[in-house]
Amino acid sequence: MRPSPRPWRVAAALGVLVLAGCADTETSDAGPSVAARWADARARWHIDRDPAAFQAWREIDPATPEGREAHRLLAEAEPLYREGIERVEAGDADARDTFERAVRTAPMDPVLYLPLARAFRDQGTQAPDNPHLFIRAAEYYRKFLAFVPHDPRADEARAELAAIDPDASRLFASPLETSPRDDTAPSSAPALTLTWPLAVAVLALALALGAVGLVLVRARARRESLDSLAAAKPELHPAIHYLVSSLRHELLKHRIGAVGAAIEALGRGGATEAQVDLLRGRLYGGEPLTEAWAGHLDAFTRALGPELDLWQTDRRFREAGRAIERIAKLETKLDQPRAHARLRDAHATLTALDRWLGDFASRLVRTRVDGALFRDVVDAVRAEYAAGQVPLDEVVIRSPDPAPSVEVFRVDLVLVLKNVVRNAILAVGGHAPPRRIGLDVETVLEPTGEETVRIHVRDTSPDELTSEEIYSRRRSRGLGLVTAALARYDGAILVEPGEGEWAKSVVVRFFRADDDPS
Amino acid sequence: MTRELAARLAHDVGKYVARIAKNAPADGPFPAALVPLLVEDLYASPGGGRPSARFAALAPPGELAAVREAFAAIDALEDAVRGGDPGACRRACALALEVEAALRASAREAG
Amino acid sequence: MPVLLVIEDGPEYEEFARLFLAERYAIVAARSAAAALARAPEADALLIDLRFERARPEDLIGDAEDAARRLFAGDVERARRWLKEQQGTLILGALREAGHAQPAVFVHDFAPRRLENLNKLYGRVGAVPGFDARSILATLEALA
Repeated sequence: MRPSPRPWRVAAALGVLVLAGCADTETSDAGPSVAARWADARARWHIDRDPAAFQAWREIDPATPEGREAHRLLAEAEPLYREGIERVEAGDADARDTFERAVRTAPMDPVLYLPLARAFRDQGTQAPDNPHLFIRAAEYYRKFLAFVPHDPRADEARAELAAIDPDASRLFASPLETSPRDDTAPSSAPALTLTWPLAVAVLALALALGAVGLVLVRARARRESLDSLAAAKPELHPAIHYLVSSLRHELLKHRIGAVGAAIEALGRGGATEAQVDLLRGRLYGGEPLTEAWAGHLDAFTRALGPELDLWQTDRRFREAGRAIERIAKLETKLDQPRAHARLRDAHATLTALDRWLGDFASRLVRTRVDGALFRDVVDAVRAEYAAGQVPLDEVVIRSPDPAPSVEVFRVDLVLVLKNVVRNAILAVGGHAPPRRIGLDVETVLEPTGEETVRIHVRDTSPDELTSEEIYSRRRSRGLGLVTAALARYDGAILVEPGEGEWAKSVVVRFFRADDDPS
Repeated sequence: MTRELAARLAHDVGKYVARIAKNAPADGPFPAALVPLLVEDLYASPGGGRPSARFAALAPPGELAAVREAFAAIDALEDAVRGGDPGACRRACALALEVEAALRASAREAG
Repeated sequence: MPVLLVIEDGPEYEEFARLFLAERYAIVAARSAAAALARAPEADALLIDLRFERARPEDLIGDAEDAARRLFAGDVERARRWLKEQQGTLILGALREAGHAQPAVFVHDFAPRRLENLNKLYGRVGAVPGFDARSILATLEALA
C-alpha cells in the first residue's frame, strides 16, 4: 500500500530517524529481537505486500542467521525482478511467471519501480488499445516516487508520470516545486556563523520543537476513527475499502461468521461433533485470533497513517477487540454452559461489526451523480492554469432529484469527469464565442432490468472527437487513463452528436448501483 | 474485482457448487441417490473442469482466501465423497454452502 | 400436474428440477429462446437461468451491435458477453412479448431494485438466490 506523502509523515519519519540516531544502542537492546523483526518483516511482505518491506528486510543485521537469510533471499529475488522487467519490455507473456517467482522469494527494491514503470509505459505506447498498460505504468511511477522520492531520477520520473497522469504527478511534485519559498529562504536569511555550542543549542531546540510537534500531531491524530477519516479523505476510500474487505472476508466471515450456527447449537446443548470441530478449527486453529485481529488493525495503520487509531478511538473496533480477546480466553472452557453465553455475546458483537463494515464499505464505493459533484469537478478544473484561462460564457449544470448513484469511488469518478471536462473547456477555448459547456445525467432502464447512468459533458466546440479517438489516440490528453479507470467499473465513454445548441456530448456510462434507494 | 468478474464467479462457481448441498436433508443418512450429483457439483463445473480450478482461473490472486481454503478442503474430501461416506458428504456440503455464500457476498459488494 | 418449463443453457437446472421439484411439477426443458417460445404454450410456470455462457452465438437473442454502440463504446465482444450474461431476462422479454404471462422465477441473487425493474417490465417475476427447492416452490406459488 502506498503511503501518502504528507508533510507530517515526513516530519514523523525524520523525528524517528533523529531519535534512532541518538539512541541506537538503547533501542537495539530494548527493541524487539532479531527473530521478531525478521518475522514482522516477512509478514509485511508475504502477507501485506507492503513495498516498504524491502527496507525492513535489508535492515535485518546480516551478522545474524535471520539477516543472512534475508539478504540471501533479497539477492536471489533481485535478478528475477530484473528478468521480469526485461520480459515486460520485450512484451513477453511469461513475465508474470517470473514476477510470481520473485514475489514468492523476497520484496522488490523500490528503485526497480522506475524501470518497471517505463517498461509498461513503452508497452502501452506500442499497444494503444490496451489502456491498462498505462495505468500500471502510472501506478509504478507513483510507487517509485513514494518510496524513493530522493532518487536522482525522481524529477525524470515525475515528468514521465505527468505525461500520462497529470493529476497524480502533482501529488508527487518535488518539495521545491510545491514550496518555492524554500528556495529563497537561505538567501534572504541573515548570515549566521554557527559556533559549536550554538550548534548544540540549535539542535537541542530543534529536537525539542520537533518532539512537541510530534506530540501535538499524535494527540490530534488520535481523534480519527475510521468513518471520520473516510469522511475527511475521499482519496483514501479505495484503500479503506480494500482493508475493510480483507478484514471482513478473512476474519469476520471466514473465522467468525462461519461458526454462528455451531455457537447457537452449542448454547442449546445440541452441537454435533462436526459443528464442534468446525468451531474449534475456525476460532482456535491456525493463527491465533488475537494475532490475526492485531495484524489486520496494523495493516490499517500502516496503510492509512498513524492518525487512525482503531484500538483507542473507534468504539466499534474497541468492543470488537475485547470480543476477540474474550473468545480467545474461552478456548479451554467450551464445556461450560456459562462460556457458551459469553461466546454467543462476543460472536454477536463481531457480527454487528461485520454488518456495519459491510454497509460502510458499500457507502464508500457509491457516488451520487448530482449537481454538487458536477460543480466540484468544474471548480477543480477551472482552478487549473490552462483551463482557468478560458473565458466561458456559460456552464450549464442539471441533475434530477433524486440523483442516481453509481458503484464508483468518488475519487475515480472525479478523475474521469475532470479529464472530460478539461478537454471540453480547452476545446471551446480554441474557438470563438459562444463558449459553453454543460453537465447533466440521465438514467435509462434496460430490457435486462438493469439501469444505466449516462453522464453527459456537452460543449459547443466544433472540434471533432469520436469514441474511437478517445480509446486510441487521445492518450496524451489524459483520456487514456479515463478509459482505464472506466474499465475497472465496467463503464464506457462515447461521443454522441450534440442536441440543440450543443456541438457534441461526451457520454460517460456506468451501470446504476443495484441497491440505489432513490 | 470488477462487477462482471464477481458476478461470473458467483454464478459459474458459487451457485452450481451448492446445487445439491442446498437441498440435501439436514440430518439422517446422506441419500445415496444424491452422491453422484454431489460429486458432479463438487468436482465438475458446468463450464468444464473442477470448480476449484475454475475458481483459481477466474479469481484475482490474493483475493477470496476463504473460498480458496474451502475448495482445498473440498478437494481433499474427494475420495471419501466419491465413496459416499456420509460424514465427508455432509462436510463437503457445508463447505460448498460457504463457497456459495462468500461468492454471493463478493458479487453483492462488487455491485 | 402443472408443467414447469426450465430454461437454461445446460442440464443442471433440469437435473435439479427433476430431483427436487418433480413432486409438484412435470418438468420440460428448453436450451434457447427459440425452444422456450416453442414449449411455452404448454407451461404453467417458468424457471429461468440468467447467464447463458454455454449457448451457441446463433442461439442468443438481443442486438449486439446496438448494445455495443449504446453501452460499450463500440466493443461488440463486450456487448456479446453482456447478452450472454443477461440472456435469461431477454428470453423472458421475448416470451412476454409473445403473450406468455406465466409466473417466472430466476435462480439468481437480484438486488431488490433490479427485481422491481423486472416486474415493472415483465410482471410476475420472482427470484431465489440459490438452488433452494423449498424457496423456489414457495416463490412460484406466491406468483401463481
